[in-house]
Amino acid sequence: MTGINRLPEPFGSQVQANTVIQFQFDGREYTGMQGDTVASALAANDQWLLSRSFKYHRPRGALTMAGQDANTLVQLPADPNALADVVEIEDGLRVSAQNFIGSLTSDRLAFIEYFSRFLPVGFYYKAFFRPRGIWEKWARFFRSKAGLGVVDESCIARDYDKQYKFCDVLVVGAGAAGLTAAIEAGRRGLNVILVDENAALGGALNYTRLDSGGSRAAQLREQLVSETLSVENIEVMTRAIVNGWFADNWVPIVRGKRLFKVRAAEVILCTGALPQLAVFRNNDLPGIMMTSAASRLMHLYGVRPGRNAVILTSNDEGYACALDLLDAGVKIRALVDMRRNAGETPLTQAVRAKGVPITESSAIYSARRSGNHLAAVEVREVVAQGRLSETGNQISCDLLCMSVGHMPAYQLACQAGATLDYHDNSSQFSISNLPAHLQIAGMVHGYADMDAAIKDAKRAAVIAANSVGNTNEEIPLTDNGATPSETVNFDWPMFAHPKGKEFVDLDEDLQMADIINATHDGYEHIQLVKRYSTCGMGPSQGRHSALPAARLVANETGRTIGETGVTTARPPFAAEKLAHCAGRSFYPARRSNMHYRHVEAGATMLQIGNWYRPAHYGDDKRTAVESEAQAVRNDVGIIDVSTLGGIEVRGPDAAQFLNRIYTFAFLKQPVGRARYALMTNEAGVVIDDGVACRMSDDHFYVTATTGGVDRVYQSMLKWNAQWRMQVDLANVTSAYCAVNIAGPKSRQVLQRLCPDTDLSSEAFPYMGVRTATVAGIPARLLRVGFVGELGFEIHAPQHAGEALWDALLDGGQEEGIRPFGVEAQRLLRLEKGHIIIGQDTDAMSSPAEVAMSWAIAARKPFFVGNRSIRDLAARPQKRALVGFEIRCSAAPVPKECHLVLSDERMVGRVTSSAWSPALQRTIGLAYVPADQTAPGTSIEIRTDGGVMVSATIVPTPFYDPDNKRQDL
Amino acid sequence: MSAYPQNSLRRSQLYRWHHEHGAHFANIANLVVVNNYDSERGDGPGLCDLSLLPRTGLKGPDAIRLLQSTVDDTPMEPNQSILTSDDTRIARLSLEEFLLLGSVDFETSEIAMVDQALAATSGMTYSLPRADSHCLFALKGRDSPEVLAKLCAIDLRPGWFATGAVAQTSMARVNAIIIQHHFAAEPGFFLLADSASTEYLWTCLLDALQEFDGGAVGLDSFRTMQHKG
Repeated sequence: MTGINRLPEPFGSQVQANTVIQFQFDGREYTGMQGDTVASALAANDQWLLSRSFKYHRPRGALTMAGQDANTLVQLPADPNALADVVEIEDGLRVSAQNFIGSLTSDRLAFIEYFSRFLPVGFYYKAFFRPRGIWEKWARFFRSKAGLGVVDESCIARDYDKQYKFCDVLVVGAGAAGLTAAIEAGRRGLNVILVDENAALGGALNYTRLDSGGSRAAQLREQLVSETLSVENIEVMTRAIVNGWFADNWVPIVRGKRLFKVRAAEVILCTGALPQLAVFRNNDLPGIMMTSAASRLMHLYGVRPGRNAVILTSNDEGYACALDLLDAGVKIRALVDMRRNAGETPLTQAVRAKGVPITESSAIYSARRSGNHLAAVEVREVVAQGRLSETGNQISCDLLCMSVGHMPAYQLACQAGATLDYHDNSSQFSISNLPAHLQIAGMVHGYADMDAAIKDAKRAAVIAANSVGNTNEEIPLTDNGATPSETVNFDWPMFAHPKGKEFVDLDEDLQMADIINATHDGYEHIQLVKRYSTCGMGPSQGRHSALPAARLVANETGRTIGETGVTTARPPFAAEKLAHCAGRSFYPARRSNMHYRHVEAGATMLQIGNWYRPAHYGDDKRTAVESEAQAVRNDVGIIDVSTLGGIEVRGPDAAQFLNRIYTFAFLKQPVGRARYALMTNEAGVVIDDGVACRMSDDHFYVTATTGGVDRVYQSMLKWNAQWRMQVDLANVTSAYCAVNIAGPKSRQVLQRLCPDTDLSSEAFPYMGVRTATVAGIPARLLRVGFVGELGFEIHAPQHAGEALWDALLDGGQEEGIRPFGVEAQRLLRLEKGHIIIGQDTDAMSSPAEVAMSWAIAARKPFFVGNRSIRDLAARPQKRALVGFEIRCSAAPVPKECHLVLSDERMVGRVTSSAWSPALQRTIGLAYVPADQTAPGTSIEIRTDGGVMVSATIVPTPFYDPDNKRQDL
Repeated sequence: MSAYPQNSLRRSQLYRWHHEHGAHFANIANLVVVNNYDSERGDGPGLCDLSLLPRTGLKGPDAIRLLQSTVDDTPMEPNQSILTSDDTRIARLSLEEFLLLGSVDFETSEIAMVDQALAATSGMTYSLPRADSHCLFALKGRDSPEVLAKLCAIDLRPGWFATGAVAQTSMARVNAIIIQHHFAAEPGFFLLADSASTEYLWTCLLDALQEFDGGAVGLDSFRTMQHKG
């Protein structure tokens, strides 16, 4: 036995009676059946109390049994705020209740509701702002009380995934309309994805009674499901939620641990309708639920929802539910119909025939509780809109089922741009202004009648098929062309009580007076009411509160409900885990072909942008950097510079193109020579540099900075498109690996490996370029000197990078060759006073400011940025990048962005700084005012902890000022 | 002595990975490639590192003329590819840009012919070092569109992405070229991306393959397929 409320078959289509599952709720052991949700299994065991409300800690139980309300929020070991009416039980599952002190049954914070008159909406805005600063203290208290559930920070991260999906037609909702739409679209050869949040196809057909005999729904479901499964090109996704709609039918679907990103040519929304609340005193007690919830409990889970029931209805659904309850052995104490005349339909006739006492033109005035559960309701006659008679009848009951109206599940349609309208004369909603390639069908379209809903779905499918297949099939009419029919909504199912507690929004414990007071406080627009009162901002996102709130605001502001409208429903439709958004993220990483040689040599790898680069070799940074730098200065070192950008510029206009792109002159550059290339943008700001190597008359190989090459290439493409020159551009950064071999012994090492090329100073001078073979590997050799020593950059095909690296290390053993990393390179170039674009420049740096005016060919008629540079030259220069030194070895070494101060005023900043072992002093580069650049000028730098350090401006290069070493 | 990548000048960036995962190498056309792995999965989709497969690229206003004078067929439209009688896959990336991939048996001769023509041309045709600028993988198997759906937003299902279709897109946030190709009777794709991203993309693809019981495969798997075919 899995609970005293279990019903025999055929109730309980979704549970397997022969598979018993044990689980815990709030420390107590329970049993349920395979297929049970936490809420259904607890209900079977007569445990109706599931949670405590957010503000007043009122007892709450199942309301919808469909995951559409916050009453069922519970704590799972790793997940707070799980929906007990959605989460299926598993053996050993431990579930806890949330938001109480003491016990769920006896919450010590439940006393708060007795002070509710002192806690109206916005009370903390009004009450806790004086004296000044007091809010900060109150905020701590409120924040400790706010929020539900506990995040288990020790839980093990689980794999969440993402996947793209594509289809011709996405059908959302697998009720009768959705199944029909999928079948019709599928039969027309379209690829269909059919999505439903429930475990079983059929939607309401699984639990709703369509006829007095009670067999039609099951027959229809069996027929439609069978047809759906027989159509090969329909992919069914159950337990999946379409959580939003984005432009061009881009739709996220959440299923299990995966987020599907679906692109659909056509979308058909068959999302049905959401049942609405009746608003009366204590309408939130456990035991009060929607008729659909009671039906789900019985038909899906085989659970009797109560013993003595009252039904409050304004449509035939209440009568259908009454017949189901009678079948389940529930005694119906009263059927309260708010309509003046329920009419004679097969369902009403059947209920009358069963002898159920029916009271028309009546409603519930209040509910009364015993302990934490419904004990009785008071029924009174409806005498006017929102008004009941002065007296009524008390009816004892433990179950109240409500069916007072529906609201279409409009969220996805409205996210797509559709309009939701309320018609005050019929109390019905309609959705219009649908965008292209999106249809709605069935109950969401207003067709409550099953036959009309099915016809409507066929109509939508044909429209979608015509659109996808570019066909012209005649579109069938829905319900013989009639408009949506059958009024199910009661116009005003809301009845105020002098003692309040008529809840409009159960998530936030908002009563009728709260919404009314919000309008009295001046918030008359529904969107302002929402934000002021938080109505609709809880987990159920206004599914049940949007309409009653709109009714109240309309009434208070003298407008119709149609004019007032409802609040906007933004994505996500249902609560979405951060894990779904975070799952399967991509973090690109680039590695040179020599990457693992660095790792094997003990390098500390840095990720600079996407590239991994060796910072230094060995654990101790200072020792490593100093010894690497010393090797380059005294012997020979190699560094992997494969990350340098490489761009081929080819064609008859290649030289002219470079002449326009870069600041220097390139027209007369000889073949076999490299030239420094400085790039400025239209504003005259330095944005990149490199060297342009002339390989032939119409071919340049241009290098660019690691971080700047993509931007340089894009810029070149843009200008080439504008100038329409005969030039071809190719970004070959990844095609070439590159190694810089530097140091006084670099020539003899390299010469050993490329015997076919004369590397002597005469044959291969500084800034020369050659094609050669290095250890059998074809390569481009560039004689450049970024680190200020005799050196060569070797650019070789990427796949030979590791072989090249090995050959250089082997070939240089005699000379004591060793690899050096980025940190040593930075030190060496700083000693030479070479700037790094992006580190020593910023978004305002002009060539003059960084002492690069020598790199500008002033006589050129044009280059990108020349006009701005000319204009800047006509104005007084405000700052300049200068070299500085600190001779006191005990002084702290300034860091990048440490400030240069003058009379405690910021006048500049440090861009680079390091202790130079070669010079035995601290050196650096800093921006200073343009009138304070004279060598010998003292500047004050504020270092870490506010320690002031005096530095002296000196000329650069700091090391080898005559550049003799690189010209060896 | 068995072939080993360290003895070769040209090395795939993944040779260590291959070695650590039980790869058996073979020397084909002076290139050391993976023949198979100790525990190669047979049924799921397979991912093969073809980084050393001969390939080339060319572009420029005269590229089409050079190509037409060298090979027997060329694709008519951008983002289409054709298979020549030499089993060379020629992809047209734009009106003036082409990519040529050798056959998976490494026996294509057209790549060398095009490279020779490129070296000799004086017209406005420019070579592109595709063998070095891009890594090349083959992904094959019925589920391969589903595998890529975890990394790429393009609809690669059969029927939507026709045989020979080319997509220049983003895959796992790196630029990629995807070319539909049938390996014998088995559907699949050639995947090309920035060669510096070889290891990154390989890892992403293997991770995506797990769900489908797929994994890395060597060149033997293509030979097996040819026999089956």
